[in-house]
Amino acid sequence: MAAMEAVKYVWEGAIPLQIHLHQSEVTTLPPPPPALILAPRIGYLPLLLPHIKPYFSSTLPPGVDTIWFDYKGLPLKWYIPTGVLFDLLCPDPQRPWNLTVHFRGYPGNVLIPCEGEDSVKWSFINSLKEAAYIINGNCKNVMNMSQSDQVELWNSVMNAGNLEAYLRVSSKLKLGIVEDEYSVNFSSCSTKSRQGAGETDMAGQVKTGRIPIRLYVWSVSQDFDDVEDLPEVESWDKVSYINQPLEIIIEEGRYFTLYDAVRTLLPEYFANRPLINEELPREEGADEQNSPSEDASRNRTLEDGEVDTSGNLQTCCTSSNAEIKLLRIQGIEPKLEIPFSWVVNNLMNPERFLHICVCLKVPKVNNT
Amino acid sequence: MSSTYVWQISGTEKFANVIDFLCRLLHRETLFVFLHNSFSPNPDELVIDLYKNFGFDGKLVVNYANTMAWG
Repeated sequence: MAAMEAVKYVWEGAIPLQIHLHQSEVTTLPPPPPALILAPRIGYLPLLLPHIKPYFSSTLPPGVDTIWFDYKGLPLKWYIPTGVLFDLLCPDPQRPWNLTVHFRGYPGNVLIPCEGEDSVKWSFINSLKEAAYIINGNCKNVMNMSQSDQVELWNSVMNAGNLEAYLRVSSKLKLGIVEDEYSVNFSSCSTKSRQGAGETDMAGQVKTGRIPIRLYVWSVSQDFDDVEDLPEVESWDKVSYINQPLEIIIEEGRYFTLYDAVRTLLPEYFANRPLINEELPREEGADEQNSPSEDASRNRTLEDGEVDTSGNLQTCCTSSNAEIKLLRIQGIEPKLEIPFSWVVNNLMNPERFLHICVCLKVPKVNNT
Repeated sequence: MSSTYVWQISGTEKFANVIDFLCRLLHRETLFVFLHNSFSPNPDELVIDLYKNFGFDGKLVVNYANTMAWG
């Protein structure tokens, strides 16, 4: 089924890591070479311990292992999926991604405690419950999972293993998918009024009103043309982490885009509503409204994050808006005009949260 | 036996501070702290986000347990 193809790609996405043991923990000469590991995007770094430990066990100083990682000195928050960490901290993707592993000296002042797989599982299940609460108003479905289902769910996620098993167990949770205007009749969409996405559709798929989202925002004040020039995040203080659900508003004749979602989540940066979305060609109306070359230029400027200030758009207020310099989900930079429902249904993580990394260029205060 | 405590905290604080406060109040080294009797938010979460998502009536209600309840 075509719909599953994207989900499968996401599930199988992985980051090649080159993991170096911190020099303070190397007790042998020569020092061990780095470990080369392929880490699932939807997984978590501490789960890699069994794969990493063998490379370094003979050189570690005596003591109890408490594994943690850093990237260029920044301790990595272990409860953030590996793929999200990479998208956030490595705007110019480094392959392999060079990380440092530590087995001692856990930085308890920066990182919350992690006691191995159990801590990661606890964090995962609680995130899933939180998502269930956001979607359904309660998490009974997760709490009532049978023991064997819970085990199967965790096992399927733990090594980005069995997607079929994950789908089988998670479908019982009835967390639904977001109604996708492109897979149902357009006419049935137009009968809905301006509330959240509505009721169970004819295919028996429950639509969700509120969508769990985790948004990671960092900003720059200068202009950068290339992703490789973007400064890297050096401290967690520089990242605004926003945990906020979103409700898709279905309006007649247009679809809710990824850009709409970002604007809704960050109203303070996008106070002046550009008319870009109204001007975007609809599936049917494209040739009436715009010539192909105009569309192409608009798409291009949207991807560059610059507000299109040509002709028929309102130009007076756009200079005070923030510009999206980079937006990544599952390592992809989706076009901002993609229907948000598609993004959610295909790019969410197994705990049912959609993680979005955004770099904004924020105008300087004294800009005119 | 259950008890109810009401206190104020700034929204810019992390949930970790709520957990720490309860631990000190109840003289415990660790506590499991939940929302809606069902899930335990990540300690790095901001109280303001949790309140916006899960609070009502001007309050964020948290429950605590000594053991990993509702597992």
